[in-house]
Amino acid sequence: MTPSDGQPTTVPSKLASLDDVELIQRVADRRQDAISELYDRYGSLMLGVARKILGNTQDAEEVVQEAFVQVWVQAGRYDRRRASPSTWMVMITRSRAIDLLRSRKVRARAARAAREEDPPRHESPEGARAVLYEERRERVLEALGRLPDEQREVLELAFYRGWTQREIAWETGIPLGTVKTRTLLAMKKLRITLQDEIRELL
Amino acid sequence: MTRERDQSHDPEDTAILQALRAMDAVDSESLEEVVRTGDATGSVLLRRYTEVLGLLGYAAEPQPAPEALRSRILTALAGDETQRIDPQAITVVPAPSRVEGRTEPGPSVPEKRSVRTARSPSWLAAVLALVALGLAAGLLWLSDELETHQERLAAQERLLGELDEALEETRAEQESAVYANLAALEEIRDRFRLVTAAGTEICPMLPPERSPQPNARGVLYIAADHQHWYLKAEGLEPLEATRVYQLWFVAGPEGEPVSGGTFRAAESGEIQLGSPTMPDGTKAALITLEPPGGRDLPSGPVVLYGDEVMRIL
Repeated sequence: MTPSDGQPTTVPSKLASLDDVELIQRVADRRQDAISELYDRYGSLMLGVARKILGNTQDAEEVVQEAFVQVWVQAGRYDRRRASPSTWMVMITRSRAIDLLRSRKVRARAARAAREEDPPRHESPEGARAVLYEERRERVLEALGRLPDEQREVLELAFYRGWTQREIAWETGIPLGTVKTRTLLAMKKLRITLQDEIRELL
Repeated sequence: MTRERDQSHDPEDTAILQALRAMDAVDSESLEEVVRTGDATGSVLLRRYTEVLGLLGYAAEPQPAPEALRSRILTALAGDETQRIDPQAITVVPAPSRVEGRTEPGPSVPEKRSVRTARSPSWLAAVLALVALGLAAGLLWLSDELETHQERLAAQERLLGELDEALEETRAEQESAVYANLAALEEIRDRFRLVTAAGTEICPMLPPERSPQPNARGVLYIAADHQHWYLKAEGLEPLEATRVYQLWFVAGPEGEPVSGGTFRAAESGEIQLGSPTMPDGTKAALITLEPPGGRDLPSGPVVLYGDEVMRIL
């Protein structure tokens, strides 16, 4: 289905000037153009997260579609005190992707697709937000790069595989206490290193 | 995902573990439980660590967001506004069954022929037997030695592992203390920035008549965006376990009180709180005494109250 088929299309509108919270409020009011604007802003990020977790583009797109439907359904319950819109949407995507990953069939398919598919193409969102996106991504990568390997590893296992600390300990053979210590330390370091980014999101 | 029991008493560690749990509970009601308004300082820390986790998403390689996907999303929303897509309903293409390669028979190897040896003299057999005996004894001795060395090596490796673990723990404790101090410094910088910013408003908070704590004083700083705020109060009395302080914002046309979280004062009677959100149209703030966990509406005596706002710069 393409936009020219008479289906809902992207509406270039004043929405681009709204901040993310205002857009979520528009989504809660059942404005499709608002969800389209959110797709422009975060579709690429959400697809990146889903692709990294699932290892293939087809499943990643399915997950992102589900995530946007969830945003649509739950926009009225979004609480800005808990998380910024981008964090909220990333977490929804991650949660959906990990649910899918836990299905054994999809896991096998993801492993096969990861072998067969071309390496992911680096592509940032277009437009004025691209610079902001790239800068933020660079700072996050730099912050992660500063962490010792063992601390980064436990954090990535928790975030991208959805493993609990107990599962990480079991799978890696690292004592549970050590896993916990590494996780806490990694998070504290990231909070300091990324304090400017966090301030922007608050 | 199963929940890990949080045994840490450090508010920073608790916030991190809660953020990790909330990350996994994003889709369920348990998130409500995890982030329910409770301890005000804990809520701020939890929010910061939630954002740290959200930022991790940026580490993934961004992917092109195709127009076709946008159309599918919009079509799904147009079809049924409350439609949920069941992840279980996703069609999974079965993996092609792997064709096991048949093992081709290898080239035939001719059977070893038994070679009949010439009969040796008996003295040679005896010498060979002695040599074999000597070799066997030597091998036995070497095997014992090897086992002993292996055991020693294993013990040393275990010791090394324990030392490594202890070293990592000590280093982590030291680093953790450094980062906790840096985080505290960051909080102070944030508050300093808010207090000194142009457009910041101040709201003095004083004990009303018949306040149970007439010596308490406080100042609420409200940023120009009317969202970020910072409260500093002193002279607050220590409370028994059955009471907590609860901050309220009075907002809206009807002046509804909205909870800003519960807290306990330090031994010095001082408290410093801050948050990036405040109800729209806040007209006044108050602090009351409430049961642990707080209440949905103020029920206890008012300790401090303020409704006059002044702009500094």
